[in-house]
Amino acid sequence: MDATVHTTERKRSGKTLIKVIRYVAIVIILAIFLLPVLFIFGGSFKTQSEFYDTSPSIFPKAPTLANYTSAFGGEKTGTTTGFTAKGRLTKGIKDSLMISVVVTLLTMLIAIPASYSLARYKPGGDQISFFILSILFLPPVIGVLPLFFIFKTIGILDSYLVLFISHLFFDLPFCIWITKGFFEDIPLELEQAVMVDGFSRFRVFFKIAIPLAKSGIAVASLFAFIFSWNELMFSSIFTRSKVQTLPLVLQDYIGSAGISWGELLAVASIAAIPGILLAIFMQRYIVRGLTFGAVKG
Amino acid sequence: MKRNKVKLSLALPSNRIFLDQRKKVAFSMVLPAFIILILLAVGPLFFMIFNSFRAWKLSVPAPPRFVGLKNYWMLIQDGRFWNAFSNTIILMVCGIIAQSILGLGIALLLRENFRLRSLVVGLFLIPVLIAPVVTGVTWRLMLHNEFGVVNYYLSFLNIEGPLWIQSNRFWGLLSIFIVDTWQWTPFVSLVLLAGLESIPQQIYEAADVDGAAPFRVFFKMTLPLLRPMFLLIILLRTIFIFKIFDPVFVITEGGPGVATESLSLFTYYIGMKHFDIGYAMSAGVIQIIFMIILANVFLKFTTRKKGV
Repeated sequence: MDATVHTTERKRSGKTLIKVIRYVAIVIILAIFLLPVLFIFGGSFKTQSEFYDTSPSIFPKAPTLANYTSAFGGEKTGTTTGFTAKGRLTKGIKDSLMISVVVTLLTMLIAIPASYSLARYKPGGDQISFFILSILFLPPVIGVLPLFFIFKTIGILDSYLVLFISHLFFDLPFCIWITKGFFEDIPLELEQAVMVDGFSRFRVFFKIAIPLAKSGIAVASLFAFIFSWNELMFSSIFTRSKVQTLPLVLQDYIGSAGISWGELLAVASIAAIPGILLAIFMQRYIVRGLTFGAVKG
Repeated sequence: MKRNKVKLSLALPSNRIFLDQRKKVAFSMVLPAFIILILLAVGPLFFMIFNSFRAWKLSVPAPPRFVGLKNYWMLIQDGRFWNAFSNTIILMVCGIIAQSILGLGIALLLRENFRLRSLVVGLFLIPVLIAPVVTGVTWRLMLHNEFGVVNYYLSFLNIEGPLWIQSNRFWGLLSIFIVDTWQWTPFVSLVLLAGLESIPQQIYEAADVDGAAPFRVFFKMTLPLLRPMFLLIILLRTIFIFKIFDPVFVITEGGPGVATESLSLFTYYIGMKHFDIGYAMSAGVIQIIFMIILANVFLKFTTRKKGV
């Protein structure tokens, strides 16, 4: 009797010890992974001289908003592009937002009916699905080089249009693949049942399928948005001065002589915000998205 | 109930008009996406294959001419291509191994539910969704040999930090590897966590009843059951690292010299910096062949899993 009490007690204290160790480990790992993120935001409030401190820290010693004001006001110029310095960041934000939103809308408009059809009717067997998936796996650089010459011939380089079109290269296959998975989750019997009640095929699609797959549609559009927002290669090749996305503005800072690190990190902080919001609020679906639906999570 | 069944079978007539109409609807819904993707992907593909057989340099005024397999022949003998190729493979192998091990450890830590777990998971996913150009510039700054925090923290451990990206191929690749691992380990660990959570609890209870030692349970039960997840991770990371561009482009820019170029960056530089289009196209074709094989494996893998 006495012995059993003793062992269970020991077991319990052992368990709490393990629990404590686990929590400490989680906190340490989380700190390591978030350190660079904190560094971005902390650095954006630092003065330039603090970056040349040989005992650097994550958090600014004398926080200042100067980086943001100068980044928005624009004293500094990027070297490689011809865009005038004034309002470069504002333009970057505006262009990035505009491109991401338009591309997302365009993508979903095309992807939703396509993915529904592929999920329900499987036209052309699995061939079309496979074709779409394989585009997703292509290194973008392979599409980019030929497209550059094609777009040059048509004469649409350095315009919004060229990014609207070219971002479909990765957004469209991705969104079709993801929403297809969500449409497949809707039981076929349900759709058949309402068709029995006299719903037309289109009404089934609009009134049943889309509302039931709305979380999938939301996930796909948020991914499309973030992919466009983060995209660097296409904008660096297809656009020069008339269109300037945020990643491009950032990329130019590195090339410029005497980098203003604080300003760079201020721009980086702004560019990082959508990703951070998405990570926190969409976490349930991120694994599903990034495994192309293979893990339902 | 019975009435419903009768109605259902009536509603699904197998007459031809019905099927034809259904087919038409199905195809017309896919058509816009299909056409766009053909134009965006297949058009360039033909352009690429065609030009990979031509000598086409924008820096030379001579018009492009057909040269057969010469570009491919040169590519095979090009040390820079093989350097980029081996860099990509090194990043792939090291990345997959490190991220799997770290990811598994973290997944095991997060396995048991606790308060705030969803917040922790959300915070944890931040590196995956921030633009690679943002994380790239940040890491570049953090890895600065003199003013960077990484070397500063290393100095507490009495380690003299290296020059990182400025020094040589080894440290350059290591920098890219660190950033890639930092960015993708959270994703890997959450895939494994999903795998862990899909393992039925009963088999652990059964093992407990049988008095199996914890590490035996782990190696004999947990790991084998996670096999499909590991396969998926290997596949996805292979695909992603195979086309790695942004981190390399931002962190080392392929340097010093061309030492840390990845295949994508190599192709980009050949095409957009040296303007040797034909040559770049032949490098692209090689990568496509590799990718088609991978896509096939992925599709086989996912369709098989659904069947089980």
